[in-house]
Amino acid sequence: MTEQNRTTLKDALSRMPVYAPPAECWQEIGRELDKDAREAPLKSALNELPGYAPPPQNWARIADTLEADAAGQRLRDALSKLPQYAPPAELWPAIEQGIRPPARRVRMTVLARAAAAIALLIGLWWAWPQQEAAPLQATYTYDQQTTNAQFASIEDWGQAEALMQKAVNEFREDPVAKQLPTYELLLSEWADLKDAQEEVAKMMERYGKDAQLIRQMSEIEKERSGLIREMIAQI
Amino acid sequence: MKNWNPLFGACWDCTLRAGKRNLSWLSTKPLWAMLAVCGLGFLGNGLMAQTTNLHVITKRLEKTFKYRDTYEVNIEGEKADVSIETWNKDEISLTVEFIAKHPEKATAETDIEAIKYIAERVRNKIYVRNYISVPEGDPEPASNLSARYVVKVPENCPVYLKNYFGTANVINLAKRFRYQGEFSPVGLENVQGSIDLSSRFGDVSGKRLDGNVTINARRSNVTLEEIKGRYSIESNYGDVRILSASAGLLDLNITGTKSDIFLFDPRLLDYGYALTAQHGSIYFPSNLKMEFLKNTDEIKKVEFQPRAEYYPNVTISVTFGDIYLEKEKPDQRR
Repeated sequence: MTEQNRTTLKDALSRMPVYAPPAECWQEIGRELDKDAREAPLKSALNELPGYAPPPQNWARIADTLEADAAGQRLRDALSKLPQYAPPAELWPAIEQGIRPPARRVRMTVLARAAAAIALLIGLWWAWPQQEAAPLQATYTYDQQTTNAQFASIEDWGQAEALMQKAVNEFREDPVAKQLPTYELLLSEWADLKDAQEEVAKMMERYGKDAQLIRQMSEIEKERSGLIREMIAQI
Repeated sequence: MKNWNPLFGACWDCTLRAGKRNLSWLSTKPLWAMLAVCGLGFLGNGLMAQTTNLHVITKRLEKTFKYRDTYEVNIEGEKADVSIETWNKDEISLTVEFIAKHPEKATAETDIEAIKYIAERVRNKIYVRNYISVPEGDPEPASNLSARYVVKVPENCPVYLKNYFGTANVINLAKRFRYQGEFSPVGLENVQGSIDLSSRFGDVSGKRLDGNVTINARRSNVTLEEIKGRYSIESNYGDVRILSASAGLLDLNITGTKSDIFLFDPRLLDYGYALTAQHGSIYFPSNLKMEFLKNTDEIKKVEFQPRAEYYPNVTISVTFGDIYLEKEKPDQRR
């Protein structure tokens, strides 16, 4: 394509004013270019950094927050659209009259507290009544009885203790006895009876010996004897 | 252990099965073994035929509480013979006696005060307890000491009794009775409702019990008669004897270790059975056509279902023990 008014156009262009940017613009451009050159390694390093995705619950939380914000905003919008009402002017004197006497309000509170305290006392009285039973009156009676039994001299249950313990030790170590299905049971039974015997002996110390305790001790001793027989038979 | 309960005359026949064996095996044992067994025969020889005069001092205390429906009586007795009975008053009455016996009167007088006693109501519970307390430095009591309780309650009053080295007799309670005893035989008669008993070295006897009954007995014999309701019994080193069941029996579950279980009832054919004996045997009348599920030296397992639509279930499992089902009680066979 050929320009028909080429000379005119060239003349017009040559008459147009020429603008040069202020020198500081070039300096600024130069600084920016330098900065880019300086930051180039940083940017390349940044690109090499690994990327991490946030856990899904973060997004869920963000979504919830956003929704809450949106819901809050909707609420605020709705509130702002509510019509406003001013109470009639004659109501204010009545309200002021109702709240004016602070002294009376304090008195009411004290009364309420007193009533609550009384109610609490009544409740406590109900839950923790007075001594409803008559006071304890102890009466003593004196008597004498004759007994033929001298329990203090009956302490023969420990006489065969060493031999019995020897039998238990033999049974415990015996390889044949160890194969018995009752092996553990017999040993635990022995321990039980020993504990029981000690309990009875303690009661004898505290409450004194009587026929019942002697009988209980004897029964335990008989059971121990039976157990020893059973153990010895297995050795 | 003997049964000291005056309600029943049953007596533990001391589980000395080994003692019934022929002792000829002893001749093959070493000398110490013979001494260990024979030496036991000397026990009891120390009882002296000597007369002693004892001063007996009895301290008696009485206390009465008004009863409300929510109340429960908790008794913790030590060396105490406890008797619990019911009455028609809306009151709980406690009569406690402490007894001291000693050849010296002054000693008995001093020692009786060493037995302390608590009877108080805290909210809905009435606590009763006795114990021995001696000031530090003072000598221990030298007297023979014991306690006796007579407790009267309305029949619906729940009672929890804990007893250590004593006896207990309970009659006519209708709502709830819990018992924890050690070295204390306990007897119950005509007790209904929730019954929970735990006993160690103390025989348990019950007559005309009805309700949900749970018994845990260790080294204690259990003897029950005319039972109704549901029963769960666990027994270790003690026999269980059910002398008779009444028409209201619903379920009977018994688990035993080193225990023999006896069920005597003329209507054995009316019940369903699941019986298991490990290292033991099962004995039952020939007309009870049990189905053997297992029958080895180690384990025996039988079942039976009656033709009736509804019937009580009897489930018994024992280890190192036997099960006996018999139509008649031993005393009826004579």
